[in-house]
Amino acid sequence: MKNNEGQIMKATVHIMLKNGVLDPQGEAVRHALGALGFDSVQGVRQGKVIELDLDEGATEADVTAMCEKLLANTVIESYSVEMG
Amino acid sequence: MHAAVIVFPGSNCDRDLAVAFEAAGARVSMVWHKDSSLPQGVDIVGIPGGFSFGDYLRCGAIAANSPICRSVATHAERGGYALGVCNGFQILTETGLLPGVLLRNAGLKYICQTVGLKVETSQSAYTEGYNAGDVIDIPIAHHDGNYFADDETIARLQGDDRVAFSYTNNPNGARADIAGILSENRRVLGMMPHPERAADAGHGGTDGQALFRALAGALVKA
Repeated sequence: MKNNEGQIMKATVHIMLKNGVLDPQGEAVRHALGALGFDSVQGVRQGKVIELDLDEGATEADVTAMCEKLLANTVIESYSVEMG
Repeated sequence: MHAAVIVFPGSNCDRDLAVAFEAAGARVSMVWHKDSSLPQGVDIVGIPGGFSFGDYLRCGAIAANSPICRSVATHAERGGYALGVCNGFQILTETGLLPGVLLRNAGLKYICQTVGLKVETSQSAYTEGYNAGDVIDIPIAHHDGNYFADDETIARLQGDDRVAFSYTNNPNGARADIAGILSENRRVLGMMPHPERAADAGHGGTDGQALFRALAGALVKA
């Protein structure tokens, strides 16, 4: 945690498999929902959410660089960044 | 042949890989992931199977960004050899040294069994001990071995004879039944099956021995 002098900024990264990439976990969830009687479910895609606490002054470009370098594998995943 | 086997937290096939290299006549150095350089004179780097960093984030993603992996990349870019097995294959794709990615198995289950592998090419230091078309029995043990790459990449791998091994009975949904692929210069091999687990009569099969022997032969000549 930061002391009173520095503010923490939040960033949220959403990572999803790209369209066309098989999502077996999403499929398994869809099957399970169907088995429970939720007939309205046409499809399920499962992704992940990563929350970052950042120093004040960190930019969206910084978070994008983090996504490109580590957080997402852009061969199969797309990501979106939400600041604040 | 001097082989370096990288050890990450969560590696569990590091010793098996070292034993297989040694049985083929190699001198082996074990290298910790926090080391920033490889020992002098290393001919081949072995990246073992296991669950490096608990498979957190994505299989191999954290390991691919560890200090030693920068040296492994430099070694490969200089024309050095590297063999990644199972988690090692996942790490090689995450570093970008091999194309594509390993997804969760299509059936969602962890699979541990011996499978038939077709040797697709004998044109590499790893596979020259086999004939193209040979079918060998090698164990697999993975949850994320479902090879994926876009159509263009798959076509390029096939067109350039860079698919080293394919499954005779696809267990995990891998595109084009791909079990192992070579880099463009054919010196980096990534494969999901474990040849080091079929390298001694005590393993119940010895079909993996030829890979290590061929490698030792090729690297002695080099």
